Amino acid sequence: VPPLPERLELRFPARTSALADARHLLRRWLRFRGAGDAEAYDVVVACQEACTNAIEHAYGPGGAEVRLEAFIDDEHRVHVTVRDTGQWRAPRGTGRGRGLPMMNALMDEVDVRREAEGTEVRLVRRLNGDR
Amino acid sequence: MTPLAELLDERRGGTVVAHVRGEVDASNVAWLGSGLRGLLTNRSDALLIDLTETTYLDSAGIALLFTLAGEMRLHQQRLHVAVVPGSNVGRMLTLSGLEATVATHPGIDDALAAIAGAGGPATLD
Repeated sequence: VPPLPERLELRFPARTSALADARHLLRRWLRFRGAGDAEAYDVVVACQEACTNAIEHAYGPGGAEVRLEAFIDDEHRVHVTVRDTGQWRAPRGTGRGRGLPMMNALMDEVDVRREAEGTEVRLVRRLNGDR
Repeated sequence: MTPLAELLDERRGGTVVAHVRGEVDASNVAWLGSGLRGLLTNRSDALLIDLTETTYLDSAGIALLFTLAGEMRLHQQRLHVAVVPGSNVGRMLTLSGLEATVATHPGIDDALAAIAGAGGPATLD
């Protein structure tokens, strides 16, 4: 069982088979850091949408990876950044364009930046322990 | 490796009940889609997807539900979903707006009662 650091940093291959492990670890980290069950689930889904997009947009076989970083600031807001290193391409997608609206519904802030090096998605949500 | 999800099916009258247990994400949604489509025959009036034991569902699975509902409507079949109201998965369905398109019920028995009460094959909306 990996330790749960203050700042979570994950790197995994841009393959859908890696999603479940990333999700389970993020969920455990959020709960350990005081997030309630429902809000942890919401944040996990939003992050998975970003990761799934990154995987589906990642260009070419092999090499591409997804990086996820998360921390909680002094005002109990969780900040998650999901970056992919692949070239952007049109989605072939399972989510059919539902991923971004879902992220917007689940998070307080969603910021998507597409750059030559890849796409970066920044997500912010205030946590209140499901109160 | 333990599979993320399992699909179990049973028939109750003219309704096929598909129990989805575990987690659905982009890695297994295609498997789930073909499994669910395989349960549909010309004799089925309705498919009830039981999500009460589904522990994870995101837009990959939700997109499948929308697609399946559309396909079934073309064949005068009706998709029903059972999900625990207010559960994590239930909240995702609400957020996605699925409930406006697909008949959603709080449990299997409620769903079967509603399907039986509706009587006969579904009509086109």
